[in-house]
Amino acid sequence: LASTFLLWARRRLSRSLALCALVISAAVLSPGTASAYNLEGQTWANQAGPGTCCANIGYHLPLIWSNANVDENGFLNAASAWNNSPALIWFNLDSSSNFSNTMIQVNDENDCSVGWDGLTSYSYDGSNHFIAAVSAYLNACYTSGYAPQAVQDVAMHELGHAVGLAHDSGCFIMNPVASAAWTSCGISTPTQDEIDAINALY
Amino acid sequence: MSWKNLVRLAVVPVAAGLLAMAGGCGSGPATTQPKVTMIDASWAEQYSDVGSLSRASDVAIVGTVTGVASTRVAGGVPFTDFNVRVVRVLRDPQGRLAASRTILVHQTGGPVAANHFLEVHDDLLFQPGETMVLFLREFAPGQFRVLAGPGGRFEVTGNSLAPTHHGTALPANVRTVNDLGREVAKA
Repeated sequence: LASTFLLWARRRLSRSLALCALVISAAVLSPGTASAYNLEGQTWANQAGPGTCCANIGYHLPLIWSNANVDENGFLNAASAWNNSPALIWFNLDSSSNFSNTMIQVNDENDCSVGWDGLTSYSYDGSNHFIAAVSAYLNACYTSGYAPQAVQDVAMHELGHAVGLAHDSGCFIMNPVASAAWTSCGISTPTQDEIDAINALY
Repeated sequence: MSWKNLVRLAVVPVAAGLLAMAGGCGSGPATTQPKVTMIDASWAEQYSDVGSLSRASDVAIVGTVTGVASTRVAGGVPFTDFNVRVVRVLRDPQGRLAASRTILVHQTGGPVAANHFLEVHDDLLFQPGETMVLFLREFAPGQFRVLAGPGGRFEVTGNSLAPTHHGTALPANVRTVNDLGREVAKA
């Protein structure tokens, strides 16, 4: 009886070790399972707490664009993509008369003397813990030659920065080369990793 | 300490140096720490290897930053033009560097107020005295920008090379400027 029990225990242990190894391997090798997002460190104040729907982020479109057909649509489509995702955030186009709800001013440039197709600039509150205002840009020098999905990815990337997400290597909207999310990975909506990042913040 | 904080610590002396150079005087030690705010960029170009980076560049050089030529702010975004002395030409198929051994390299970032700088997270402003390998695109006669932001920039210490954060990976056999020069010549 004792030897039978030992044999059973040994087999049970082997199976457990094999299962454990399998789980660890899957966790290490599968790109989508591990939490890989990076955060800037600051967030918008006075938003719904993590797990509560939803942070409410106002953005404003300018009247004059370098390339409205491409860049204005890029930002509008990007906001829709975030809003239609499970991320607990809502980008609202500020249509108030005095733009009092504007937190993110979006715009575009047409500047071929730089290597960026999107840029986000911040200011913070005195404590440096909270975002006070954001300007997000697309660069028509590059976006005018992009597929609409790639423009949307760059605009989503900038909106991601605008709410506290940082760069993330791999098939993510927050890849430092945001257009590659479409051209290399076929992605045109926020990934689960980015949804997790937003839902950790807001 | 986080990577971000390390970067910020590294940036402050750079910004202070820039401020002193922009002011054009060295009348004494700075009394106020400059405020540095990071901005974030999405890069329009990426190259998976040194060969493709080299083929896409107009010129590739080893250069030393000698100072700030000018700064400006447009649409709320600051830009800085640096004077870079060409130490060694690695690639110049069209002879763009024949006229001068000092070129202007344009970077996003710089002063936005008396003691306030904006700086791109992945592509920190050059430091005067810094030596780098730069893969460049000439966007106007005599004016260059770095290809792919951090991807076209390699730090040089002595003869050793290192890619920047989010920069183009170097092959295992490329450890020195001479190694990189051979890779560029093959491209």
